[in-house]
Amino acid sequence: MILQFLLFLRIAYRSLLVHKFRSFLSVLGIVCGVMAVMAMISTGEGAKQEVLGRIEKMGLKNIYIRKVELSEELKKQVAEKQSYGLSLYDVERLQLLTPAITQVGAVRKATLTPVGTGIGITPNILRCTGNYASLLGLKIKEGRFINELDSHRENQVCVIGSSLSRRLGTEGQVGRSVRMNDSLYKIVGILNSYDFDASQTAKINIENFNDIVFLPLKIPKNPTRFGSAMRQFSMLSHIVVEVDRRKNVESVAKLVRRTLELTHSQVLDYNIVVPLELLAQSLAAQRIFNLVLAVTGGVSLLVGGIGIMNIMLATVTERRREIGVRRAVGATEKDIACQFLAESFLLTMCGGVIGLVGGLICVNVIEMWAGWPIRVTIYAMFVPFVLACGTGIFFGFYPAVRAARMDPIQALRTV
Amino acid sequence: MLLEAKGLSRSYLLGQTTIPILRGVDISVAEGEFISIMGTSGSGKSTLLHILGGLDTPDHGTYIFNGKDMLSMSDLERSWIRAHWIGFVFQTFDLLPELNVVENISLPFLYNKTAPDLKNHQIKNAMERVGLMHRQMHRPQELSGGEMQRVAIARALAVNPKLILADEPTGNLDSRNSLDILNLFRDLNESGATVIMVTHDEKVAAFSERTLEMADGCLS
Repeated sequence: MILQFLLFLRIAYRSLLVHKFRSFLSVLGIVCGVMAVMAMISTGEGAKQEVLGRIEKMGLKNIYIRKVELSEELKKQVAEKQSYGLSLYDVERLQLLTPAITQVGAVRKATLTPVGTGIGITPNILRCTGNYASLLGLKIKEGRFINELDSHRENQVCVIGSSLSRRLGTEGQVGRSVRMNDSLYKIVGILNSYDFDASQTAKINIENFNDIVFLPLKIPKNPTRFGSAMRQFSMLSHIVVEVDRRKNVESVAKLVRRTLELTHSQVLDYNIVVPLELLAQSLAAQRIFNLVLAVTGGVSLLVGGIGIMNIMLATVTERRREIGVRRAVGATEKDIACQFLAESFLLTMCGGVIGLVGGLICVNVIEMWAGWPIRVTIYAMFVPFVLACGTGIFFGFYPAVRAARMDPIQALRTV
Repeated sequence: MLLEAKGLSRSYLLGQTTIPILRGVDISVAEGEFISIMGTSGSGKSTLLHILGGLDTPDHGTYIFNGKDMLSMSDLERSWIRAHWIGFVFQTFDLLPELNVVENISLPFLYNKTAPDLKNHQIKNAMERVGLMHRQMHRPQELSGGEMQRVAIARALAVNPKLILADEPTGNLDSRNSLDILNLFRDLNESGATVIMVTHDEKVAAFSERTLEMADGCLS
C-alpha cells in the first residue's frame, strides 16, 4: 500500500515535471502561506520568549513598588499632603501587612562616586537590604551578600557585579577595598555574571547587575517607629515585596495598593508593578496574536488550496484521454483517484518545502534588519508544513474523485 | 470459447433522444482467432469493442469472458481482468508523452501485480516482438507513427493477455506502416494470441481469418 503510494508519487512527480512552470505557479499560494505562517510563528515565539524571560527575571512572586519622577502637579500634592516618597516606614507597614508577605526588600540609589579606580565608567551604586539578593534570585560567585548586620552596624562593605570585578582586576577581588567619595568600602562578595541585554530593559526596569555596587542600606539606630524622622528617612527608589504563593499575588497586590494609598495620603508618587500581571497581559496579547496568525495562515492556505483545486480540475479535464487509457490497461477508479491525489499532495508538499526555505530566509532577514528576536521552533516548521500537505489532500480530493468517476468510454472518446 | 456474448444492446442518451447503438449483438470468439469487425463509422463497432474489453456495460444481454460473467462484476474485478487478460490498442496510439518507451510499455504493470523479474522479462519480450529494442529510452514524440503504434502494441502485449482488442490500429498510419502493423498482428495471432480488430477498411480486414460486418447495430 505504501509502496503503491510511493509509486504513484513517482508518476505524479513525472507528470508535474512536464509542466514545471505551471506547477510552480499553481503552488505559489501555498508557498506564500507557509512562509507567512512560519515567519509569524517564529517572530511571535521570539517576542513571547523575550517578554517572558524579562518578566520571569523580575520574579513572578514579587510585587515592585517604584518611585516615580515627580511632575509639577505631583510636587504640589507632595508638599500639600506631606508624602515623602517610598520610605522605610512603607517597608515596615508592608512587612506587618499580611502573613502572605514573606519578605520585603528595599533599595535606594546612593550618590557616591568611586575614586581612583581608573575604570572609566560610573557603576550603579545601590544601597539595599540584606534580602535583596534572594528576592531577585541573584547568585553570589564569591564571598557573601550584604546582610542585616551590615545595615545595622553601618559596615563599610560592598558587593560588586562580575564585569565590574573583572574591570577592576586585582583590585576587584574579595577582601580588597573600593574607595567611594571619602570612604573605603571592603568588597565582601562578587555576583555571578547575569544574563543581561541592555536593549531589553526598556519596558521593564531591571538594573544591569553586572556593573553594580551594592552597599548596605542604612537603617536608623533607634527608630521612632512611626515617627516623622523615619518617614523622611531614606527616599527609596524601589521596594520589592515577596508573596508566599503565586495565587496570592493578586490579592496581596490589592492590599499593597490600598495600604500605600493610605500611607501616601493618596499621592501617587510611586507606581506598582506586578510581574505576574504583566505575564498575564502578555500571554493574553500572545493569544490574540496567535488568533490573528491562525486566521491569516488559514486564509492564505485556503486561497492556495483553491488554486490547487483549480489547477487540478483543469489537469483532470486536460488528461481525460490519459485517464481513459489507464483505465483500459487496468486502472481501477481508486487507482485513478490515488494518482491525482498523489499529484496534488506532492504539489503542496513541494510548496511546503519551498515555503519553509523561504520562511527561514525571511526570518533571518527580519532578525538582521529589524532586530526582532526570532525563535524557529520545530512547531513553527511542522505546523505550516503539515497544513500545506493537508491542503493538498483536502483540495485535491474533489478533482481526484471527478477523475475517478469519469466514464472511461467518454474519456477515450475525447481526442 | 474464449468469449461469448448474446443479445448485447446499448444506447446512448444524446440530449433528449436515446440513440440505439447496438441492437442485440451476438458474438462468440474462440481462443486463437483473428477476427475483424467491419462497419461504417458510427455503426457501433467501437462500442462493441469497449463492451468486450469490459470498459463499457451493455443495457441488455449476457457476456461471458473466459468463463466469467463480465456483467455482474464490480469495477475492481473488471479492472483486474483488463489488467491481466486484455490488451487494448487504439487508433491514436495514446502513449503518455512524459514517459519513455520502456515506461510506456510497463504502464499496465502499475495495475497488475506481477513479480518484478517476470515483469521485466515480459516487457523485454514484448519489445523484441515489436522490434523496438533500439528505441527503449526514446520519448513518444521522437518516434514515427508506425513506431508509436508498435509501442502501443507492445504495451498491450506485455501482460500476456488472452485477448487483444484493436480499435482502428492503422487508422492514423500510411500504407507502408499499416502493412507492418497488420503483419505484426498476424504474427502475434500465429503465435497464439486472440485478436479482435475493428476497422472500416476492407484491405485491413482481409488480414484476419474471419470478418464480421456491423450494420445498424447488428452483426452479421
